[in-house]
Amino acid sequence: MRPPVMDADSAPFWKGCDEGRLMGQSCEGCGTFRWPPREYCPSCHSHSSRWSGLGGTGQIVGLVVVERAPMPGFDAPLPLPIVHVELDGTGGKMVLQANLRSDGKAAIGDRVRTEFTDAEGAQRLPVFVLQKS
Amino acid sequence: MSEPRFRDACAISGIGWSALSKASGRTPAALATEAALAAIADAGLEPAEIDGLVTLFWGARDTPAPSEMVAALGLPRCRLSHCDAGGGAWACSAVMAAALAVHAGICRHVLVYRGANMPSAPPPSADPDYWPSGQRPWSEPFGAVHAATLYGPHVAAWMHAHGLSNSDFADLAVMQRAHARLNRKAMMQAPMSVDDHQQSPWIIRPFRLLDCSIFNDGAMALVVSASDAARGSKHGVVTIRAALGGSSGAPVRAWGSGDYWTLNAEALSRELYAQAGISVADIDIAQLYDPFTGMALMHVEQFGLAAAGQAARAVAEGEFGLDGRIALNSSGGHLSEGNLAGLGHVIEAVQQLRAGGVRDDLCDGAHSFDRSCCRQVRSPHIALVAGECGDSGLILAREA
Repeated sequence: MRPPVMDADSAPFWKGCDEGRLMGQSCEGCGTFRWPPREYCPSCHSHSSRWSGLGGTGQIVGLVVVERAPMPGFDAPLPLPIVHVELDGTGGKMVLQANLRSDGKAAIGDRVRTEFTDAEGAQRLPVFVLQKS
Repeated sequence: MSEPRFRDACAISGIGWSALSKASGRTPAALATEAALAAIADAGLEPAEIDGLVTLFWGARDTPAPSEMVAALGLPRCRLSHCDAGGGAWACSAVMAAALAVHAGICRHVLVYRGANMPSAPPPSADPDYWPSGQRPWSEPFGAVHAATLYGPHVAAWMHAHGLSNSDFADLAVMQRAHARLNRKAMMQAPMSVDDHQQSPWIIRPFRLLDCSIFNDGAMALVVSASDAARGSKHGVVTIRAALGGSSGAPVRAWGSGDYWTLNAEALSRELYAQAGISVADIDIAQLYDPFTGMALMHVEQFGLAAAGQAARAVAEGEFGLDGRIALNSSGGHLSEGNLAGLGHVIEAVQQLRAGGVRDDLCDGAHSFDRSCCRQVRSPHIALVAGECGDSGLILAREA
């Protein structure tokens, strides 16, 4: 799978991942979380923002499981669950897409926490893990 | 929103297509030229009368550029060259762009076309879907590189909210296959049962193989003219009663709504019907974008054709068959006819609304309405056509 493309807007997020921290950007004007990260707030158009560490817990709001390589060169191990997770403490604004590390069945509404991949020399990525109820 | 004076001012005067296949063995320019010449002749025009071009693609530029088509068709002039990069989401807005140029008096006859060898010769590109600051950096690293991974999470959320499962998708796939079997240009002609659907392999859950759009080579084209110019045609006049385009936001998070499955369709449909001066009860046929069964069913609900969570049941009960309340995807759609990013949906609506009706079903002579050979709907007057997510939409009308 292709590594993330880092740009001026996204760099703090990916640097956080490398340090094992899930970072979120919120607006200093109105407090709204911005996702994906960007210079100007879509709500109040303020240019000021702050980055802070998030707890990394949240709830699955959408999911698919890739069972067959959708195109030539798709090299991820299958089946590959991809989940959308609404992160706690972000006012429902930050819904992060990532893979789910799971050997069981996941469903919409399940609670997850965030870990990070740890491949030698590669950008670390967030990965979700089901929380035990 | 457009001024009401746009209403019915423009018409779709000609339609054409090439054969649809898995490997055309021809260039996209040849395919597009065939479809264009057919559409121009169908409109009763000469190629030299075309003075504007619109094409559409998603990601990779796999359709011939307008400049190529100016050369291929030998056009003496071209006053509009528009490439719509929204793909199937904006199929209807590509038609709208053509109509706006005609309505503004800039062009007289605009050709909307798409020709591509999607499976047999995809364009070589390391990064086909690149947009600066787009949402792909947030999906690609996790293997979300396919439309099913882009829309699937929203479909899964909608299924969860309404207690639906994949088996609820079967009846739509089966119905559209039955429609395709009455369509000579449709690629998928083999009969399909609910069992066939349920036994087809998982591709990307919640979708099985028979939930997915075809991926094919081919071309389709249509001509947009002023309604005045189209009058006197043997086909009657099929007008553009209303048109809208424009997404309400990238689908990283749902479309600015309180839930996780409301698409742009819900807001667009309200405005589209108001612009057309109609209500859902006036719609006779609907050609709704169907990249996957589940997305098509969400479109049915969010365009107001069925209550929330009830589209699959309504399909199973026959409400959307050729003789149902509203005939849905009567060509077979992307699931069973073929995929030209939504142009096929527009062309099917035009065929159904024309004086002579569809010309590529199995009827010999006049339409019999015998569903073993005829796919013509009984005297439809108003058609809804929608692009993916309801990011664009058209109301087409048969002029009385």
